[in-house]
Amino acid sequence: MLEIHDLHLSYGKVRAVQGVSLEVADGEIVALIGANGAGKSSTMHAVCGIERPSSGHIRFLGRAITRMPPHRIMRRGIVQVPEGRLIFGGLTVEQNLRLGAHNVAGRAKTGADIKRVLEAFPMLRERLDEPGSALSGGQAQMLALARGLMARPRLLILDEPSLGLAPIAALDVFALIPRLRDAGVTILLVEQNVRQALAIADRGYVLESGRIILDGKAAELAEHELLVSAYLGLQRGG
Amino acid sequence: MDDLYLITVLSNIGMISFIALSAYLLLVVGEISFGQQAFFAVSAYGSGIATAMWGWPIWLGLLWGALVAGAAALVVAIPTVRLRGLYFSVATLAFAEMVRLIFEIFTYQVEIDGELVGPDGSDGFRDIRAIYDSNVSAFEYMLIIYGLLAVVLIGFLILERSRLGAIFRMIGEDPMLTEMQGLNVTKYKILAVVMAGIVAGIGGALYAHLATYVEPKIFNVMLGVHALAYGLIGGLGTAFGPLIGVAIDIGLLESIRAISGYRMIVFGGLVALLLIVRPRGLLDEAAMHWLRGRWRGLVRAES
Repeated sequence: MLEIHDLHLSYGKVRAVQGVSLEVADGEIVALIGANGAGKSSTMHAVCGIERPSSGHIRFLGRAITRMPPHRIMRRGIVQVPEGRLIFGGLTVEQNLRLGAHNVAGRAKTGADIKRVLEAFPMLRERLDEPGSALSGGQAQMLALARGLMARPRLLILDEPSLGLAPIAALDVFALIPRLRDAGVTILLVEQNVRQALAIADRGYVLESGRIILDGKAAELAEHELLVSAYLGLQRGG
Repeated sequence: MDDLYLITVLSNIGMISFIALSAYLLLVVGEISFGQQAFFAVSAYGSGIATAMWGWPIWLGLLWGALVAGAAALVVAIPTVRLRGLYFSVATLAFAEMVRLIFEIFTYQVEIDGELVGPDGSDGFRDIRAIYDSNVSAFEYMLIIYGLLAVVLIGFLILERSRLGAIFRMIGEDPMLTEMQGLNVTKYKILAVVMAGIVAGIGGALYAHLATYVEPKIFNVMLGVHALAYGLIGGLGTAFGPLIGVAIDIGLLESIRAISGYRMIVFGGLVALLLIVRPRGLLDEAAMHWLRGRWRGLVRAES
């Protein structure tokens, strides 16, 4: 579904991504893990068209999308739920949802889409008229996810969905992701929370200093000694 | 005499409201323009030329002025909307000064009834007499101003409840996140700049015909700064905000004799104070959400 081949991306002299290649197949949950500054977000921004890669190729559903503007990439079915629970605080919850659906053919279906999304996120239902700024962190993350789903994505990119959330709210988010996949959405999950990300993913890639250093089935990665020592060390056996 | 004074003040409030709404629309999409006076000026000249020199009827002159301002805004928008923050502000300021300086040297006159009529560089453009020639009284003209203002204001209120209005507010909050929703931010920003240009243009055309005389120095940067300040005082949560700002400045400050001569100081102080206490003005987004909630509650209680 998504193929990234030998992607390079630099900010001035800083080479954030140095030859990343990865693939996401239809119906998978793929985790992209790595420490801060490993190049996870830069890779995702290149996929979404927000950053221009200096070289490399990105293909989606067999078509090249490298260097397309973000709004056109999104219309092809790649929706990113950005890091930091970014919602529009000045807009109501309902407006946030409606505008997420903006590119779906036929606005007549928006009402039905809202209904469908609210079934997955019942806590948003009674808050439809409230401004986004009135939501708690967990609710805002749910709204960001719900808004992403309004656009009927083929591929949903979740950038650090658990970052800064209370543990309970983070659990809710991680419980939701497999359900989204079961509903037919392919998911690329970017996370620092390695253990939980690998627990729900099918496969994973580990990024370090702009390079993929490890990849494989999620269950195998979770046992891999490199990962265990680097990221899971303190948690092992706990 | 007092009536005429009142009519003049009210007419001024009405005309300035257009440029205040114009600057407000750009504030909503997150851009600070120091150059809305340019569109006011382009339309003042354009509509004056149409009525005084080409003999067009007033209504057509007003429409023409607004369209010319809209076209000028499109020309400004295409290269500048990709600029972010301060760069956009500086670009709009530079454009407005450029327009003003062009009018300083722009001469285009024709002889009508033995007299030269038309813009004459820094001497300005005299005898834009269309409303006096057709015997429109000051009171009637004030009604025309407020009629058009009502139309524009209703347009703004419809806009605020529409998808387009929500998209403008999204861009104002976070352009990159808006782009991620599949929206072409550049396109919408160009649209906002053009709409703002047209709105300022309506005010400029009305102004030229009431004053009958325009000169380049009226359209200096202070006009644009005031236009911005009105939205910042009155609030960015609703189109009524900039109108409240205009009413406070022209209606209140100018009429309080005790502060005459110090008006700009009081005005500047007021802007500074509000920017600290209420950075998005009196009627900001939170205030509007609260008011709308109260309103819904009232409606429910009634039914």
